Amino acid sequence: MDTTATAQPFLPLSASGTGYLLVRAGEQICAVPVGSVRRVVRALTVHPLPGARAELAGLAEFGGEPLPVLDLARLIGAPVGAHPLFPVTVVVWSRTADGREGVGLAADEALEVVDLSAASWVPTPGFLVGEALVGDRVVRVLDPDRLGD
Amino acid sequence: MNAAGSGSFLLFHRGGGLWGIDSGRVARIGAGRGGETRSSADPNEGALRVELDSKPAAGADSVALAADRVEGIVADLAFRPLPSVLRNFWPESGCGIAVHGGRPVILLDPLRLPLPLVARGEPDA
Repeated sequence: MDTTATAQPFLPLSASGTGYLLVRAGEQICAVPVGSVRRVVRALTVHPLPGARAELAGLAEFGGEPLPVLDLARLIGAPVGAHPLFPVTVVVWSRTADGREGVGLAADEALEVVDLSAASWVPTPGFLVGEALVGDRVVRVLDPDRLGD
Repeated sequence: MNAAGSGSFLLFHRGGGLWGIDSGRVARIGAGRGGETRSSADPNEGALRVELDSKPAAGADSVALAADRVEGIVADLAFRPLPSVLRNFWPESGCGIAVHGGRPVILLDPLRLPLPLVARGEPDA
C-alpha cells in the first residue's frame, strides 16, 4: 500500500514513525495506533445500556473483565450503512489518570497496518487526532487515550 | 462505594443488561404493573419491582427498580470502579462494575438510581 502523503492541503502534525492499524467502520477508514491495540477478535456479545450515548454500543465481557464497547462508526462520524453488523471488535487500551483500561471498538473489518510517519495530518477535534491520506484514501486517526479523558 | 471490593448483590435483568444492587437494600420483590406479560408500551414498566428500603435522590419518583427477571443474590461479587470510558458515554451513575456468569454487571448506587431503571407507579395489590 502506498502511504506516501500528499502535501496539500493537509498540514504536517506528526513525524513519529508509529504504525497504525487501519479499521473499516461503515464507509470510513479509521487508523488506530498499533501500540494501543490489544487484540482483534470476532464480534463480542454486547449488552446495551439504557440511556447511553449513541457511541456506546454497550458492555461486553473480555478476558473475564467487563469491557465498554464503542460503535466506531458513530465515534468517528461515519455513515454506518443500512444494516451494520460490526463483525469484529478491536480491543484497545486507553490510558487514563489511573493507568489504562480496555475499550472495545465495534467495527466492520481490520484491514492492514501502515506507517503514517510520512503522512501529513489535518488536526480534528474530539477523539480524533486528525485525518491523513493513505494512498488515495482519507483515514481518520483515532487517539484511544482521548476516550477516557 | 466507588473503589474495588466485593459484596453481596441482587442481580436482575433489565433492558438487555444485567444490573446489581446491594442486597441489603432490597426490601421486597413484587410484581410490576405489567405482571408476567409485560405487555405495556411503558418502557419503565417491568414484570417485577425491586423495592428498596430507602428513598433515592431527587429526580426519581419511586424507590423501586423495574426488572425483567431476577438472576438471584450473589455473595462476594468482586467489583471495580466504573471505567472512565464508560462514565464518559453513559451519563447515569453506578458504583462499580463486575462480571457474573460471563456477563458484565453494573452495580447501582441506591442513592442515585438510573432513571431508565426506576419503576413508576404503585406495586400491584
